[in-house]
Amino acid sequence: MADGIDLSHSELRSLITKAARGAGLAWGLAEEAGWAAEWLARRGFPAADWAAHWLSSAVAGGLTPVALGAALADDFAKGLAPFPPQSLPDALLAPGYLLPFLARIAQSRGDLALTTTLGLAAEIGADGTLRFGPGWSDRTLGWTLAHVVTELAGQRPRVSTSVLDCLDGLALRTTVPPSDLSRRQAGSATPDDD
Amino acid sequence: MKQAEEHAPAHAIAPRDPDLVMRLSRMGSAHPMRLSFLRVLLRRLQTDGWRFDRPVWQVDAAGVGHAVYRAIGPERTYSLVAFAHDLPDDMRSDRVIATAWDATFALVDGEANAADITRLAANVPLQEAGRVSARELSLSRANRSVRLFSHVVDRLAEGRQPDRAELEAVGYLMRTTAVYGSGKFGVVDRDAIADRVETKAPFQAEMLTVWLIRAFTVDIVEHLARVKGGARAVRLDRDLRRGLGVGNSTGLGMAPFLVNHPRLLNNWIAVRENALARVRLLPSLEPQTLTGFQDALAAARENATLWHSAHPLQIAKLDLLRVDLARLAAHVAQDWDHSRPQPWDRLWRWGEEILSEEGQEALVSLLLEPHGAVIDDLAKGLDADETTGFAIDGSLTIGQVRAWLDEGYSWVSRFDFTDPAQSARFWYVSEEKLEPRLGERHDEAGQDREQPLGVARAMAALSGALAGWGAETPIAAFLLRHPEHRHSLRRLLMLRGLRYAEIRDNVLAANMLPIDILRCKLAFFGADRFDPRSDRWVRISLFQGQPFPDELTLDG
Repeated sequence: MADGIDLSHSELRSLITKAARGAGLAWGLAEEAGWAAEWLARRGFPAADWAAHWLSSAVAGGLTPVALGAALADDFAKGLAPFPPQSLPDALLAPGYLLPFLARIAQSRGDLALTTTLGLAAEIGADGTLRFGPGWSDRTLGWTLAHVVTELAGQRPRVSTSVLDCLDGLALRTTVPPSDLSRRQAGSATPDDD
Repeated sequence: MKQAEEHAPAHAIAPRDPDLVMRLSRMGSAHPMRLSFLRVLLRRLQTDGWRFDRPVWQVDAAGVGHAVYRAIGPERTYSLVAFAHDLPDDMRSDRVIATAWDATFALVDGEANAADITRLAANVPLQEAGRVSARELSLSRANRSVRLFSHVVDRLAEGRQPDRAELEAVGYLMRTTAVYGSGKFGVVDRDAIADRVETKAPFQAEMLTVWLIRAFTVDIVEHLARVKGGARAVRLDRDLRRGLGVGNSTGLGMAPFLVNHPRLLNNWIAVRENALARVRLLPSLEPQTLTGFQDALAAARENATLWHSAHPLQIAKLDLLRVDLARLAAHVAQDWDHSRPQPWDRLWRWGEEILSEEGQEALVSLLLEPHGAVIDDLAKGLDADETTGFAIDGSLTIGQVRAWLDEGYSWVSRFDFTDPAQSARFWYVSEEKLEPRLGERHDEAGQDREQPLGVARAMAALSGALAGWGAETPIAAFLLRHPEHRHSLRRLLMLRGLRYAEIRDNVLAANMLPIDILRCKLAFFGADRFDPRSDRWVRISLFQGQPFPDELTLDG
C-alpha cells in the first residue's frame, strides 16, 4: 500500500487553509490557498505536495504564489482594465499555485499563456483547459506537454505522510495549547455518565 | 371600523426584520418546526415510500457485535453499520477527548457488504483516529444513558415495562456525541451528494444516521433484555418507545458553524421567515388548520411540562415559555376571533405584543405546524451553494464597498470596540483534539491565534481602514496594501443582499452566551428539550415522538 492517506476535498481545503494561516498568511489569503488547493486537487495536481513546498518557505516571509495569484486576479479578473504582459518575479516556489488564479482571469479575459526563455510554460484556456510546455519550471514532477481533463470526479488527493506531517505542523500553529481554564470550560459542568 | 377592516384587501406582510430576528437572545429562543431538517427527512422518506430493514444482527450476549440497518429508496439504498461495544463505565465521556464509546456508526452509500464491514470495523470504532472512505456519508458514535439504559434492560428482562416517568425524565437510551459528515475523516464530500433529491436539504445524511441509530438503541436494549431474562423478557411497549428520541451532547464546536456558513444560515432563517409571512397572509382559516394548530399548542404545552433543565438560564426561559403558552391557549380559547380576515396575522400580532421572545418563537413553530400545504415547498430553499462569490472582483471601487458596508452592516455601530468588554472573548481552536473553544482575551494566552469569527469587530475595522482612500480607487489596490482585510471584504461581497446571513450581535462580547448560537442551529436540526449543562455545553433530544422505521408508512 502506498504511503499516505486519501483526503476528501474538503479536508484538503481545510488543511491547506489552516497550514497557510499557520505559515503567516492573512486569513483571507489563507482561504485563497485552501480554495486553490481544492481547485488543483480536483484536476489531479499534487496540491498538498506543492503547498508543503511553498508554505515551508512562506514562514520566513517573501512572496507566495497565492499572494501573487490573488493580486493578479484582483487586478485583471474583472472589469475593463487593460491586461498588458506581466513580468513575474523570479524564484517563485510552486508556480502551480498560480494556475487557479490565472484560470479565474482566463475565464473572463480569454486564453492566457505563461512563457519563459525556454519556451511555453503553460497555456490556460478560457474554458478551463490547461496545457504545459517545456518551460514549466517544476522539475521534480516531470511534467510533459498534455491536455488536462478539467474535472476528475471521484478522484481524491493522495497525500504522503511526510507532506501531511509538514502541513499538520503548520496547521497546528493556528491552535492554542491547553490551559486548566480552557479544559474546565470546554465540557459539561455536570458529569457525563448520568 | 370592524366592517371597514373586513372589506379591506389583505395587507402585504413582509418577513420579519433581520435586526429583530438575528439577535442572539432571539436566536437562542428558537424552537424546532415542521421545516426543521429531521421533519424534512421524515416527510421525504414517507412520501417517497422508503422501506427499512435490518438484514444483519450479529450481537453477542455481552451486547458486543455489529448490525446493519437499510433505508431503501426509489433510486438508492443507504446502510447504517452499527458497532456495539462493551465500554467500561470509567471510559464513558461525551467530550470530544473521549477515545471509546458504547456504540459507533457509519452510514454507507449503498449496500454494506462483508468487505465494507471488515474495513469499517477496523476504523469506525476509532472515530477520529480512523479513516473512512467516500463510500460513507457519516461517521458517528453514541453513549448510553446509564440511568435509563440499565433500567429499561432490567425491566424488560423481568417481563415488565419500564417506568414511564423515568423514560420521560431522560427521553433517550443513548446520546450521540458527534455525527460527522461533509468530507470529515474521509466521508464523502458534500458536493458529491448535494444533487440527490434525498440529501439536497442540509444534514439529511446526518439526520438519517441519527434516526436509524434511534432504532438501534431500542433493538440493543431488547436484545440485552432477552439475554438476561430469557423467555420472561418482553419487548418495549410501542407507545413508550415513541417517546424515546436520541440524545445529543454538544459543545462549542457547533457555534462557529453558523458564522462560517453564512449563506446557509441566511437560507435557513429566510425559509422560516417566508413561511411565517405566508401563513400570516392567509385571508382566512380552514377548520382543519385550526384543529391542527390547537393540537400543536396542546402538544407544546405538554412538551414544556416534560422539558426539564437544571441550568438557571434555561429554567428562566422555561418559566417564560410555560406562562406564554398558557396565555396563548387562553387567548385562542377566549379572545381570538378567527372569523375575521387574516386571522393568523391577528394572532401573530397579538403574540408580538404580549409574549416574550421565548413565547413568540414558539408561536412561530405553532403557526407553521398545520400549514404544510402552504409552506412545505419552501424546504427546497434550505440548502445553499457556498462556493458562489468566492472570487473577489478587484475592480469594485472603495466607494461601492463603503456603500455596501453601510447597507449591510450598519448594525455594527451598536458596539464600541474601544470598550474592553466588547472584545473580552476570543475564539480559538484547542491544540487538544482540535476543538473550538472560547478564551478570555484579557486573562488567557492565545489571542494571536484567534479564529476570524468576530464579524462585527472585523467589519468595524474594515470600515476604519477604508477611511482616507479615494472613492474611485479599485479595491484591488486596497487589498494589496491590506491583505488582513481580505477575509472581511470577501464576506461583505459574498453576502450582499442576504438579509439573514449574519448574527447581528457581537460574538466577542463579555456577555455573549454561546448556547444561544447552539440553540438556533439545533432548532433547525429539529432538536427538542434543549438542556444546557453550562453556558457552552448542551444536551438535546432528536426524533422524540416521531415514528420509528417500522411505523413510517405512506398513510402516516
